[in-house]
Amino acid sequence: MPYNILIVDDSSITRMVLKKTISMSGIPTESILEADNGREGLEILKQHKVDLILADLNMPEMNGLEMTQQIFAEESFCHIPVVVVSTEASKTRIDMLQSQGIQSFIHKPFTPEVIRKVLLSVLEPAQSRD
Amino acid sequence: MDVKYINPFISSIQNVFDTMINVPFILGKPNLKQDNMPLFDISSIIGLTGDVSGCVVLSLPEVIAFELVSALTGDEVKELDRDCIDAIGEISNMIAGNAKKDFPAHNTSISVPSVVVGKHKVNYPSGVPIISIPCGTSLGRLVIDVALKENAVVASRK
Repeated sequence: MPYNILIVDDSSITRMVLKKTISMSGIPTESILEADNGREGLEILKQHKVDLILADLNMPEMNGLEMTQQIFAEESFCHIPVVVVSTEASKTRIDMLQSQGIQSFIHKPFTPEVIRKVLLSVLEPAQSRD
Repeated sequence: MDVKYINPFISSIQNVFDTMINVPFILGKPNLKQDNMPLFDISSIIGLTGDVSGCVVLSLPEVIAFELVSALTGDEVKELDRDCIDAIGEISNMIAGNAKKDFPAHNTSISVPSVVVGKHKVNYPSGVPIISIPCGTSLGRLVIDVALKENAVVASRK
């Protein structure tokens, strides 16, 4: 089943690289949507079906954690897995993210193999629950 | 500067080139930089604060910037526009962020990259040796300068 993936990152370059890498990873996609910050990400969720969110943490207007808190508080969105993509990979940071409900973490730099492994590890259990 | 803060950069440069840029490159031997003039016209500067402070500078000429950014994004880049400059910053961000996770001292933050284009100097921290890590692709050279010091609190924990 092809997936609908939302990338939320204020860097157009990171969004472009993530799209390229998802394509190279062989994960089937129906759509890859893009948002410049958390607020835009929430607006897109209201209008489109999304199976997975890839989110940066540091963004203007609404950062990744604030967006995630609002997603988890909303009944119609709270089932959507959120994966954080960042260069900040300390154990303290990852523990903090997991305590906030973040399903997984992708550390930059990443390969198509890593993207495939992490995304499928989150998408397949979510699909079987639906 | 302790080698334990240089080796993470060598591994990180290798990792970033191998995973995201995929351009054949050669990593040279690190050497002590004698002045504060960057080797090339484009510098992406990242500051570090916390247990380890100082800066990391990715210095490269336009032709190498186009080569690396084209490889990173998958689109041929021929102009030093906003996207190209953002991508140069992103490459330096990945190198510094990936190196930082291998520091022996963990409480260090990195800044958002600042990219400077044209003839310029870099205000490296005073009294700190600058280690240059040279790299080369088939089109030319680039260099990563690392000027870091371990702060007194970390040193006293040993």
